[in-house]
This record gives sequence, C-alpha cells and structure tokens, in this order.
Amino acid sequence: MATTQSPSPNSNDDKPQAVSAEVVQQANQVQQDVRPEATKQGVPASVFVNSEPIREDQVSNAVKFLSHPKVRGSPVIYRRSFLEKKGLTKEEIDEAFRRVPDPSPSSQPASLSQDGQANSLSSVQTQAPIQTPQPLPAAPTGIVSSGRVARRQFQWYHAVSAVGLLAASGCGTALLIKKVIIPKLKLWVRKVVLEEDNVYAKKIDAKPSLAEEAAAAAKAAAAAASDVAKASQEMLNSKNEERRRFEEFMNLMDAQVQEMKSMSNSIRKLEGQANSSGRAFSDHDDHRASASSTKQSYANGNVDLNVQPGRTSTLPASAEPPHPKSFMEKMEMIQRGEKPSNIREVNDMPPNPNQQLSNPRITPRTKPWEAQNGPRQVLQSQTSAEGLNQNGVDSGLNYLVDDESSTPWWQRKNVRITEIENEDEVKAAGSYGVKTNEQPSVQRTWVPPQPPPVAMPEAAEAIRRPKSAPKETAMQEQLADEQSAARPSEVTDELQRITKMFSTAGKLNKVSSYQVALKVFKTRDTFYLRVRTFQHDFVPRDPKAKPKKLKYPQFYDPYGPRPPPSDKIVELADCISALSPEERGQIGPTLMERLRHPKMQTITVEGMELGSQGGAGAGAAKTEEKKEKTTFDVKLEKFDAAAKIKVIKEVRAFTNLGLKEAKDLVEKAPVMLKQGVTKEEASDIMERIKATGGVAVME
Amino acid sequence: MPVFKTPFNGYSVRFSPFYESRLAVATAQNFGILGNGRVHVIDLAPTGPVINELIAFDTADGVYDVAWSESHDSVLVAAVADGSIKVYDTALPPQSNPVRSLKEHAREVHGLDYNPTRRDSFLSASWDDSVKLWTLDRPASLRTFREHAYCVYSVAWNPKHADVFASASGDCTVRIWDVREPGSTMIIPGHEHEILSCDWNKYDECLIATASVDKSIKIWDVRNYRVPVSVLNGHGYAVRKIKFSPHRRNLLVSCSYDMTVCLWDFMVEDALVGRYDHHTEFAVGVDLSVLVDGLMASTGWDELVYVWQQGMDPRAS
Repeated sequence: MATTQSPSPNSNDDKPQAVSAEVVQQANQVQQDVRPEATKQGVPASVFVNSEPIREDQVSNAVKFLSHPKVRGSPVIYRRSFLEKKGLTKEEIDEAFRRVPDPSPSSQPASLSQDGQANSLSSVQTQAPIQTPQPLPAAPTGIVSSGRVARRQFQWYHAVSAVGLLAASGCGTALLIKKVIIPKLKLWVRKVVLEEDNVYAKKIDAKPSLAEEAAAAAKAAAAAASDVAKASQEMLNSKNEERRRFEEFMNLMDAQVQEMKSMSNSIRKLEGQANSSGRAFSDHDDHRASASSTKQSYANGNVDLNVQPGRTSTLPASAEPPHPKSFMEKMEMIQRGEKPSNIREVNDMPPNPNQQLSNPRITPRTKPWEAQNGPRQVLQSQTSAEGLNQNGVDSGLNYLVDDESSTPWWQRKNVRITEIENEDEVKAAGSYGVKTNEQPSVQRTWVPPQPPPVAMPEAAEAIRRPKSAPKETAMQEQLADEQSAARPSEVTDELQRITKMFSTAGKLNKVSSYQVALKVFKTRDTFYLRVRTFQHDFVPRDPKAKPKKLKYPQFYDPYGPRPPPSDKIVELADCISALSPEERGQIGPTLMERLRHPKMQTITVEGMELGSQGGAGAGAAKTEEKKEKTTFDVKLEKFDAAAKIKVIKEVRAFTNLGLKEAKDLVEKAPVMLKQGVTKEEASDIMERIKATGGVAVME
Repeated sequence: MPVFKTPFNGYSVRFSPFYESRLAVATAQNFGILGNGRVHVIDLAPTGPVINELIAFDTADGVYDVAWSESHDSVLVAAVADGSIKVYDTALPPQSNPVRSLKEHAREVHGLDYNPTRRDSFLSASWDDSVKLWTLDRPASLRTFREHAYCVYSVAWNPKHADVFASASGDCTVRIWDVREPGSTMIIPGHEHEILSCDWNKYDECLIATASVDKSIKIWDVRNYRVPVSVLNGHGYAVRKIKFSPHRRNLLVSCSYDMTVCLWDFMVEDALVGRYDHHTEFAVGVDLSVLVDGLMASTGWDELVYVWQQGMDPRAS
C-alpha cells in the first residue's frame, strides 16, 4: 500500500500549502457563479434529484482538497460536509472520492524540484530565525515533514543537499550583510560623530548638517541593509505565503470570534448583567469558537471536536438577539450545576405500551391544495359530526348547538370573498364545524389568480379597516359605490356611445343594447371582484423603504414650456440676431426706454401686452435660438476640486436646484449652467463662479 | 383576539387538521434548557375570544415540537428533549396517556412532521444529526436518514409527493430525500449559517423555503437550486420557523427571534405583507390553519399563545 500510495502524495504535495487555499478560493468563485442549469432530458422521473452533469473543475478541486494530508486525517463526514457546502453535488463528491488515490503521472517530475524547494524553504526557515523576528509556524514544517516522509529516499538526500547549499548561501549573505556592513556603518557613524566632537569649534551650522547628513546616511544605509535582509527573507518565504494565507483565514476567524466575544461581553455589561454574565456567554462563545475551530481542525486534520449542539445552538454567529433576563439567569444556574427549583419528577412513560389507539372518528379532510372533490367529503363529515357530539372529551364541538347564526369569531375576516360565502353557508347548513364551508373555499383557492396592482388606493384604504361580517357587505357596497363614482364617466360614455351606435344604426334593438350594457356592467363587476379578492389587509409602510427619488430635467428651464412663437416674433428675432454685438447690446436699454415711454404707457393694455409680448418674445427668442447672441448661456468649464463645494453653492444660488442636482450638474462639467440670461446676468454669474474658483464661459 | 397563557415557555404550536378550533402547543420549562415539558391541547371557544384548554400532558423533559396525526383525529405526537417521541390520544382517558414512547434518538428531537398525503407516517428531526421515519403502529423506526453533519432542526414532507421530504440542518444545508432511496437526493447549500426551518410550497411542489440564522428566508426551486428564487430580508434576528400558507400560493409566514411574526408574499417586489409585533420574547412557533383561511397562531418564550385572523391585530380584544 505504501508503494502504491507514494506516487499520489508526491504529485499532490507539489504545493501542499497552495492547494487548500486554492481550493478554497476556486470553490468560492465557482460557488458564486450563476450557473445555467443544464437542460433536463425529460427522462428523470423525479424532480428532486440533481440533474446537472458532473462538473470536472469542481471534481478536480475536490480531489486536490481530499488529497491534502491534513484533510485525509479528518473523518469522512466532515470532508463530505465541507464539499457539500461548497456546492458540489453528490455525484461530484462521490466521483472525487473515487478519484483520490489516482493522481496524474505527468506532474511527477515537476514535483521533484518543487519538493526540493519546499524542503529548502523549510530548512532555511529553521536555520535562520535570527534574521528576522518572524515567528516560525509549526504547521508548515509539520506538513513538509509529513510530506517528506512519504517521498522517495533518493529524492530526500537530493533535497537535503540542495537545501543545505541554498541555506548556506542564504545564511552567508545575510550574515555577511548584518555582521560586516552594519558594524562598518556603525564605525563610520562613530567616526563621524567623533570628528564632529573634535571640530566642534568650527562652523556649527555645517557640523550639524554634516552630522545630520551622516546620521541620515547611516540610517539610510541601515535601512537599506535591513531591507536587503528582509528582501532575502521574503524571497525565502515566498513559497510559504499561500499556505500561510490559508491559516490567516483561520486566524481571522479566530479574531472574529474574539471580537464577538468582546462585543457580546460589552453588550452584556450594558444590559446591567454583572460578573455572572461572562460565564453564560462564554458558553455560547465557546460553542461558536468550537464551531470555528471545527473548521480549522477540519483543515488540519484534527478530530477532536468538542462542539456541543446544546440548547443554545441556534444562536447566530453574528449579532446575538437579546435573550430574556431570566434566560440568562437560568443558564448561569445550570452552568453552576444547580437545578432550577421548579423541576418535578415526571413519569411520562406510557402506562400501557400496547395500548390501542382509539378509532378515528373523522375521515381525513382533503387539503386545500389537493382538493379535487369537495362535496364528497362534506357529506361524510357531516354524518360523522353527529357522532362527535356525543363524545364528552371532545367538547369542542358542543358549540354546534349554541351558535347557528353567526360565524365563529375566528372565521371573521376583513375582506375576503369567503366572508360572504361563509355567511351563506352558515345560514344554510346551520353547522359550521364540519366542512360545509370548505367547498367554496376549496373552489376559490383552486386557482388563485395574480393580484392586480392596487389601482384604487382609496379602495385599498377602505379595505384596510378591519370590519366584521355584517358591516362587510355594507362596505362592499360602499366600495362598489366608490368605484362607480370614480368611473362613471367611462361607463356612461361607453353606454352613450353604444346607445348612439345603435340609434344611429337605425335598429334600436333593445335586446342587443341591453346585452351590451350588461356586458359593460359585468366587466365592472368582475373588476370589483378582482379588487375584492386581492386586497392586502394590512400593508404597512415599509420603514426601510428608501424615499422615492424624483427625476429632475436635465436643464433648468425657469420659463417652463411655452407655445411656439408666432411668425412675427420669429422675424423680429431674425433681425435682432443679424445685428452686430454692439448693436445687440443697445437693444436692451432702448427697449426698456421704449417700454417705459410715456406714450406707450398710456395705452396700458397695449403696453402691458407689448411688454408681455416683448418679454414672451424675448423669452421665445431665447428658447428658440439658445445659441444666438441675443441671449447668453453660462457654461461651467471646469472648477477647482477644492472649490467644488463653493461652486455647487453658487450654482444652487442662481439655478435654484437642489443640492444633489446641483452636485450632479457641477460634476458633469463642462456643462451648461444657465441659459437665456442677459449679458449682465451672465457676466455676473461668471464672476461669481470665478470667485469661487471655477471657470465659466459665456456663450 | 384570544390569548392563552402557558405555564412554561412555548416552543411550537400546530393547528389540528381535523378540528378548526383545535390547536396543540408544545412548551418547555426554563426556556427548554432543563426542566419539564407540557403539551397543551387547546380549543377556541366559538362564542367569544376565549381559549380553553382541553387537556395537558406533562413530560419529564421539555417538548420542542408537536404534530397532529393525519389519520387519527385525536392523536398527536410530541418531540421531547430527552430524545423520545411521545404519542398521545386525547380520546382516551388521561391516565392512559401517553400511548407510546418511542425512544431511539440519541439527542433532543427538535422537529416533527406528519405526512399529509399518505397520512400514515411521520418524521422526526433530531440533534443527533439524523432523521427518522416512524409509523404509529410500529414501536421502532422504519428508516433512519443519517447524512447531515450537524443538528437537524426541521423536516417537512412534500405536499404532493408522498415520498419526498426535506430536512434543514445546522450544517447550513437543506437535503431533499426520497424515502425509497438510501441517501439524500439533493443537497442545497442554502445559507452561510445554520438553517433553522424549511417548508414546501403547497401549490408548487418544487418550491421550498429555508429560514436561517442569517436573518433571511430564501425560496428555492429544486429544479434550479443554485440560485434562490427569492430572498426575503426583513427580520432583525434569526428566523426560527416558516410556514407556507395552505390557502395562498405565494404567502408564507415566519417567526423570528426579533419577536415578530411576518407575512411574506415572495412573488412581489416588496415582499413583506404584514408584521405582527405581539410577542415580548422570542417568537419560536407559528402555524397557519389548513381548515380556516387566514387563521394563524403563534407562540413564544413569553409563554403566550396568540390565535388571530390575518389582518387583525393579535392583541386586540
């Protein structure tokens, strides 16, 4: 067995450290992939069987994982559980288990050199702990040593000699660096210091600088030396990185556990529990710690698992729910070994283990989801209901005699169709304890259609109010009224249209129009029906719902939508745009004067109209030709990153945008800030932006 | 809405499949850590919002779950923390109860489920990592399903296929089994944390919901179990029990250590349909009535059992 087994660990131990981390990473990646489901052939009889084909990459990962020597030491059940958690199917796991003893032969030669290197690394580590204070994890050497044992003999000697050479060279260089260069540096530094002392009378400023320089140089040299040493050390340790990372995961988990412990302790302290609380939670934490240690031990092959899935096992690994105070007290008491006083000795063994069960009095009812034949069951149960009444123990059904008219309180619902139907059933049958009302319920729930979106919020509101049965129908009518009120126009329009149709057609066929009207009303009814069926009784406002984000238009258009300008205005605008810039600059003042002209003002109506027209015209002109030189646009070219906030403030000030919108706008720079402003306003804006540190241009 | 006060901390509540007004409540002393247990059979009075206790059975150790027999209207089975399963018959006089004590599990029995289609067998889920199949007429279990690596918290029969069931376990997987097969047929590594409860959709036999310690409920389609159909977040702490509605296709109810009972519609974007905040301690048991649409019951460690109609306030009187 040993000889046949030896090739396998050989190849699979190439990278003993890398394997498990790799497997973990790859398996994680794969698990996170959304895998398209393999199409079923239609052959398998059961849906509850995994129908995916075996994934080769998963299986190979699993094989690598299983071949790890530490993993081999752990019980099969944990290995399987681990793989299952990674998302492997049973077939894949079985395949991996089958494959584990058979590795691929091609990886063998590569493994030799890698083995040597692995060994060299470990031995260098053992020989050079003095270099850096890095702790030497015991596990890597353990792994490597265990791997080493299984290797072939000649390779071992090879490896050892190679290791020795490398180690010697590495040590030599490192030692050389440390022992020769650093003392030299020190000597040099000392010399410099001494010189400095001797010539202290000389220029003081030069000396300190020299000394500083020397000190700095010495420091740099020392740093360089240490860097070199570190680099060499890193080189030596590069191979162990991956395996250590894996262990870091474990350590991280431990750290998390520690954090959780401290967190829970602090929480307990906050809750006012004094010293005793620590013990209670130590139990939970121990459980969790042991849970995480199971994973670790799983990886390392340890078997000792002292997890007790105790009565507290359902506690979450993350934030713990606040346990009742008395719960904590009980826990402590029990941990101390005390028994709570209220426990009695109870003998719960059956007095007669061969006691016959009593005969069933009711035939089993069909479930609502499998209901095929309702009535049949109803009849049967009704007859058996009689027998029930006589039984004293089952006094639960005596109420049959009492109440006939009203439904039991627990059957009163808010808004369900069953409500009305239940009432009918009760009135008709007189007894409800049996399945009389199962029939309508059965039929009703057979095919529950999709609920429509709540189109009538007022209806939903009305329905949310809990009401009892008699008021139910009234509310239904109210609902119907509301809805009819809301949609009278449509229906009446339709009706009118229909009647018109018929009248103009000439044949006032009363029957057909009546039928049409009936159809219209029927659709109304079904609409109501649908609305009734699917009201959620209680639709809470979701406290975690984000507030609705409204969309803002891209450009801020303070004038809003307006009708297109008339031709006259268009012509005017053309004239104006044809002017030269200086002339355009004169338009404004002249227009103002004109409008303020006393002659103009007497004709108030015209003046106002003209004024408004002028304004509208100007506005129209502005909107129509945004890039025309009569109106100006201000464009934010860029801004200082540091001044961004100020720029945003300014933008908000003259665009009245909200903070977020202004921020978005500014970030989109270069962007149009404001359009259709006069030159003065534009220049004003520009200056303001410039003052804050942005660059705006006028266009 | 009536309230029933149990002397011990509640663990599970189940509606009877035969009587609309009947429930069974499983309770355990001292939060189930150590102490006696009691099974209450309670009845809803038709006249007013009152709950009457029909009968109660004491056990030596806490009772973690209870299930009504689907074949006998007066028989119920109780999962006891000492690893035994007690069978009670309410039609027999109290001194003849329990009728059976089935002791095979090595550790606490945490979940029970009775087969609703075949009505003859039931399953028990235990902290000894195994699931056992029993019938009422035999003193020994028929099958043992041992594949989980950690406690099995809950089992659920498939409502359409009488041989298929699912088990939820603390090893973070849900396994789907067929009683005719020796091992599990599917493994769904559903969550990163322990899965406390699972339940099948009554109207779609391929949908299964799992509730986990990671505060989420995931709905899976067994035909494509790599990606959940829906993830329901909203609970503040671990979700202890979930149940699909027997009357509505998309509705399910859940109870959690954040003391709330929530109603979800998983086909809707904003899935949370209702939230009931009536318990003052962990809400650990919830059930929906098969016979009465919308009737639900819950129990918690605050020793109270509430029965109310969906949409109403459970604490309203």
